[in-house]
Amino acid sequence: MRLTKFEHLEPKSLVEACAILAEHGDKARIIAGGTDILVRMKQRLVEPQFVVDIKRIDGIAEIKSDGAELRIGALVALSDVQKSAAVREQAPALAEAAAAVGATQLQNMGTIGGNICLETRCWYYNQTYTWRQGREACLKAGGSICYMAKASKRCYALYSGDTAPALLALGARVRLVSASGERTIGLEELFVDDGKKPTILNPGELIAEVIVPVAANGQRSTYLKFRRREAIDFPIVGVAAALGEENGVCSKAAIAVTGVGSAPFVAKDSENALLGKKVSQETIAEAAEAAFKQAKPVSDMEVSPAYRKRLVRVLVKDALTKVAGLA
Amino acid sequence: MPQYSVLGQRLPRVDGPVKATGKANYADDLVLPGMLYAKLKRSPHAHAKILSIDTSEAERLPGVRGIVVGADFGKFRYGLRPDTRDEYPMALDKARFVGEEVAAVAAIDEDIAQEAVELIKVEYEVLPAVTDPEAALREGAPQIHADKPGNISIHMHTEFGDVDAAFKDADYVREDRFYSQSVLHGFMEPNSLVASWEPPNRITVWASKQSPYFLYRNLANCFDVPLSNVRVVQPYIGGGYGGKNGSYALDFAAVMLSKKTGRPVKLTLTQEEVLTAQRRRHPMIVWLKTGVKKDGTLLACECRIIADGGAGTAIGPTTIANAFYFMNLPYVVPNVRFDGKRVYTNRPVSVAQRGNGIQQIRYAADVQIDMIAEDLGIDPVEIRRRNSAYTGYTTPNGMKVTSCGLQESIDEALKAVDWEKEFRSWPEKAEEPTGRIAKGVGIACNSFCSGVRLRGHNCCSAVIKVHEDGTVSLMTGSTDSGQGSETVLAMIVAEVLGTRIEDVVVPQTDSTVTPVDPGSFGSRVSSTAGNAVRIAAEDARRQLVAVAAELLEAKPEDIELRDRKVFVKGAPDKSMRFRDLARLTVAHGAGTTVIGSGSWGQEIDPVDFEKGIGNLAGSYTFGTQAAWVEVDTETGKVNVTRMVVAHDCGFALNPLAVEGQHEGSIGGGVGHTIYEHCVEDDGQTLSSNFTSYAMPTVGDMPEMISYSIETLDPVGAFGAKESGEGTQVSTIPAIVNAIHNAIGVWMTDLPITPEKVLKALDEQKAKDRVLSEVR
Amino acid sequence: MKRIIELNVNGVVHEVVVEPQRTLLEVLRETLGYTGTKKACDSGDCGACTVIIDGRAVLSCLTLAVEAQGKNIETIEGMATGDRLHPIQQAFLDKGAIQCGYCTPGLVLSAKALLDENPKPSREEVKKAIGGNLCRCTGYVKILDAIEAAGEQAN
Ligand SMILES: Cc1cc2nc3c(=O)[nH]c(=O)nc-3n(C[C@H](O)[C@H](O)[C@H](O)COP(=O)(O)OP(=O)(O)OC[C@H]3O[C@@H](n4cnc5c(N)ncnc54)[C@H](O)[C@@H]3O)c2cc1C
Ligand code: FES
Ligand code: FES
Repeated sequence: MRLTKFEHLEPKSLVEACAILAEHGDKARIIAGGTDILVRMKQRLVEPQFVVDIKRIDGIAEIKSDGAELRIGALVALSDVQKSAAVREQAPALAEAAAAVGATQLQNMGTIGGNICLETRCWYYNQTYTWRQGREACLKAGGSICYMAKASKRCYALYSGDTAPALLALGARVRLVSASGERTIGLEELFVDDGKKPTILNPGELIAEVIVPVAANGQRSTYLKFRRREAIDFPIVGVAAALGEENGVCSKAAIAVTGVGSAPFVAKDSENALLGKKVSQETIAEAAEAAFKQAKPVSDMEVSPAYRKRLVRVLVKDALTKVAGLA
Repeated sequence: MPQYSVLGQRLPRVDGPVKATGKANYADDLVLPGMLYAKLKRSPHAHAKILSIDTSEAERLPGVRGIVVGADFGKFRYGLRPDTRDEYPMALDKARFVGEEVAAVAAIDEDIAQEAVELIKVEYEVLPAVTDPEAALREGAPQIHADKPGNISIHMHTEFGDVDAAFKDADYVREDRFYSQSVLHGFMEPNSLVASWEPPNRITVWASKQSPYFLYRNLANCFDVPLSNVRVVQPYIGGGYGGKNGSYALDFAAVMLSKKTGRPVKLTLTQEEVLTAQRRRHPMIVWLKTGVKKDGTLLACECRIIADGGAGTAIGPTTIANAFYFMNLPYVVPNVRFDGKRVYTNRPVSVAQRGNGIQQIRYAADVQIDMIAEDLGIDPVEIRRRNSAYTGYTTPNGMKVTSCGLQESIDEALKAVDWEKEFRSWPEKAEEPTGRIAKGVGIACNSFCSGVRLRGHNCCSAVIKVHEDGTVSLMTGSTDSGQGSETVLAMIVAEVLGTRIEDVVVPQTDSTVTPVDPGSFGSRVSSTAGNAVRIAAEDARRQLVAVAAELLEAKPEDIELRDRKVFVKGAPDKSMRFRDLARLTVAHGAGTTVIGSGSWGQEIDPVDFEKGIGNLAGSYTFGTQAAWVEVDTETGKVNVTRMVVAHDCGFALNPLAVEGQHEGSIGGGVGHTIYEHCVEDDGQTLSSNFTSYAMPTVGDMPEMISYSIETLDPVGAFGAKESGEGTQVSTIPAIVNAIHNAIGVWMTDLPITPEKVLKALDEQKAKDRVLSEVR
Repeated sequence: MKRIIELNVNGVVHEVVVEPQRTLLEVLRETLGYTGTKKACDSGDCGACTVIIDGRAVLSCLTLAVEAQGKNIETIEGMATGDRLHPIQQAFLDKGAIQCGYCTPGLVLSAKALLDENPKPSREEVKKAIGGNLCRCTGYVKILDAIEAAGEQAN
């Protein structure tokens, strides 16, 4: 599978990168670890004229910790995320999520920025150019049909990134930069439940760093992933949970789910089922039930929506049981 | 056990160093001067008439050197038997599956070839397609081959004994339906070849083929050149498992492109092309009806199968015949009836894959025997022992068991798993709470053919050339696609000649030089080619011994060859180095170059595709497997944690290689049982890469323990039988039986995905609820 | 646009003219003749093309050649010293971890990256390190044995 021709640009600074991106607009694409975008380029799902390699940019490949926040540069490799002592201690869900991505080589190459921006995926979309000639283009490929939900006007491609739910549960923010300035937003605001374009990133805008508040005392977190095989596979469902307890009651609960819709979602009702209550098998079951209700998967070639929903309940229960130390 | 100096040792493989260092050349690694690169244009439709192919724009693209289409091959068709020649080198009048090859381009590089492929315009008239074999059999279904009405590719109906009477006599009869899904071979090396046409009529191809002589004949016929002018050379082969036996469109296309352009042409498929359009295992629906006595003695079996053959027949007759032949073994069943249909569908062509046809039927039969045991309250081990085949047994249709270590394999497997302690049947455990993770253990037995007697060319041959320094070349047409046969054959030579394995080199198969060989399939190589090599080595030995006898002034029968030396029995002072003997042989008297040769084939009836009468193979292997599983009753995920294999391989010529075969078979079997299936929509394969087509990774594999039972078969070389396929056959039922033992449901629809497990558990709960309400 | 880059493969610096769309796998195999690195899936799914860059196992089919400029690339061809196999290669041979051999170079390099960093890994750590390397022939058991044996030997 050959890549089609493009120009390879290597900005040395964020400012330069932003300028290049602004200049070339939709003709340009960012490449970080390349493990997602190069596959799509080989399949000719994207054929950028300019590939903007951000790996030579200084200062966005390190993890800094000031006691209150972890600042993780967008270029930090997933293997460095999981090896970082600071991340393992203060944001274990994130370390676990990074370790659950694909396989070792992909973790060595893939970056946290790229993982957050992982394109949504679909059995009909993630195919080669030749393969796709057999049928009408789907919504995501510029056509007007969604093969997963044929009656639908929207695209139901799945978001399958592993670190996003962990970061959501940990309350992370992202610092975005572009030629017109920078902004820092909650990660939750980055995503939209639309398979066709799952983030609100403006053209030319890139993630510079991820900011993770350091866990308050007594707060624990975890990430559980259900997949067919022990490696390589994207999550069928992934659940991150963070839990804090004060005076015997739940003072913080954050639960986020990936693999179910076109964006990772925060299970708000589950959180409410726990907050202010004693964390027990019963309240955990209620929280799991709430997540089950909130999950609205569509059909997929691998599993039915009903099964996926059930997995959400099981994984939320398991994750909470684990962080609550009730296992 | 006989004492050998080389055989029976755990020797590392002879091609190990070259493979470990990356120096082994596979087809895609080869480059010839002036070589062009080819790409294929494929049909996007499952069934469509080809109205026109316009290559003009592609031809004008700079760098394009040649284009071929189906019409370039005239009306040539090929297939296993004259009546099954239903495949064209490339689609001619119509395309019969998504991905069927319609045109090919050769260009100065891959990018240009690909661009040109996209410039070729094919006009189709899309026809209704049928992708389900049961639907294909219905009245009014789209007809895939004009000369094969009803979409019947193969139909075999046969019967032995008095089946109806036996069912009447039976105390208990049970009938079940089983399904084995579409599974891909999953070799890591995509199909590839380099082809070179030399005028006026010579063909050389370096092709990734586990059985190169099929291609040799097909190329000779297709291009109308003498066989002596077809040179199929074997590079290293990156796995085959049945998927690199035949001749494929890429082979014909590359040769034709070379002929047209006058340049060597390389054609390597992408893994996507392999996974979506190359061969795959036969999906099979199996209905199995079995009658037994109260004590579990098998009386009769009736089996009906529908195999999805895809759009061509290929080696399909063997698949159906195998399914019949293995309706009974490893057990004794006196009355059998079989009806097997292989049906055309608009899907890629189904062929052999490790266990060809036997796997599907034995999975059904060895699960059903557990079902029957449970229904009758018999221990699953007991029912197997009671019905076990034995040395000297002849099946109703005439298969002769020359050696059988089934009982011993059961003993060995049970010992390894501490069965007495570990196993309690499901009815005994059913009422106990399992907790979330339910654990189970199950067993299954297998039998497999060791060296099938083919129709037409059957024997294997070998030529041995002794170099004057005492080293040896072994020429054989049997190829090593990874299973290690090269090593084992070299060991046989070293054993017979009293040299060391390092002294034996096995050059690549080259059809103009190496003897014709049927190929590496049907678990033939160690036993059949092994015998040919043994005979050739003995021939060489005789010649060497004659010279040694003269030189050492001894009787030939007193000469011994051992550890690179020549000895005279009873005369310790008389000896010489083997290398000196080799040197003197060429110089002594008029001088001779020692060339040993040998051929060997099973002297039995050829496979009977119509009625299944006679002895299919030289000998049969037997084995027992035990599986441990853990089932997560909340997610449905099944983890196979441990597997034990005890296999009667006759004699383990190289135990390291035998273990490797068992472990690989378990790997494939675990994939087949739990992880793998082709996801398709309207005949188009969606699982087009190794992320979506889920072959097991290291973390999905059980711990494995394997034992060899040695029965020293009288037929196979040095008593050896197969070890490459039988184990994959019983992996499936062992796991299915273990899952039943864990959660009480029978999984009869492969693969056993977590979702199916949960569904089965739900149904079981619902049933229990109804039952308890009734009570 | 073609570019001249320097690729340091197994300590030898090669000056090559490449177009930016060329993957490292293509340049290694087709331009430089390092055909020991295998192309099996060409899309990141199988690990056959694994090489080590700056000490880490990566997939050469998803690495642009231009991005490997100036880095240390290790391939299977650089493992043995003369005729002496690297202990990992030797262990693969001795333990029977090689069958068809197509996955072998990638696995050996995944193993090397692991053992260079962690000479005495647990079985679980080995499994994680090679989880992305598919092998259809062996069932992986002997591969695990080989990597563990090589690790023990290095100690
Ligand atoms: C076989 C296989 C298995 C995989 N399994 C998993 C899995 O289990 N879980 C999982 O989460 N992923 C998986 N992946 C996908 C991928 O490897 C990871 O998501 C990886 O983290 C992506 O990071 P990257 O740096 O390689 O991204 P790239 O490919 O470089 O980029 C991904 C996308 O993000 C954009 N981008 C990158 N960086 C930035 C930035 N800083 N700001 C804005 N946009 C940016 C790119 O333009 C591109 O669209 C798998 C991939 C493969 C090939
Ligand atoms: S060839 Fe690169 S991962 Fe398969
Ligand atoms: S040895 Fe053949 S794929 Fe691993």
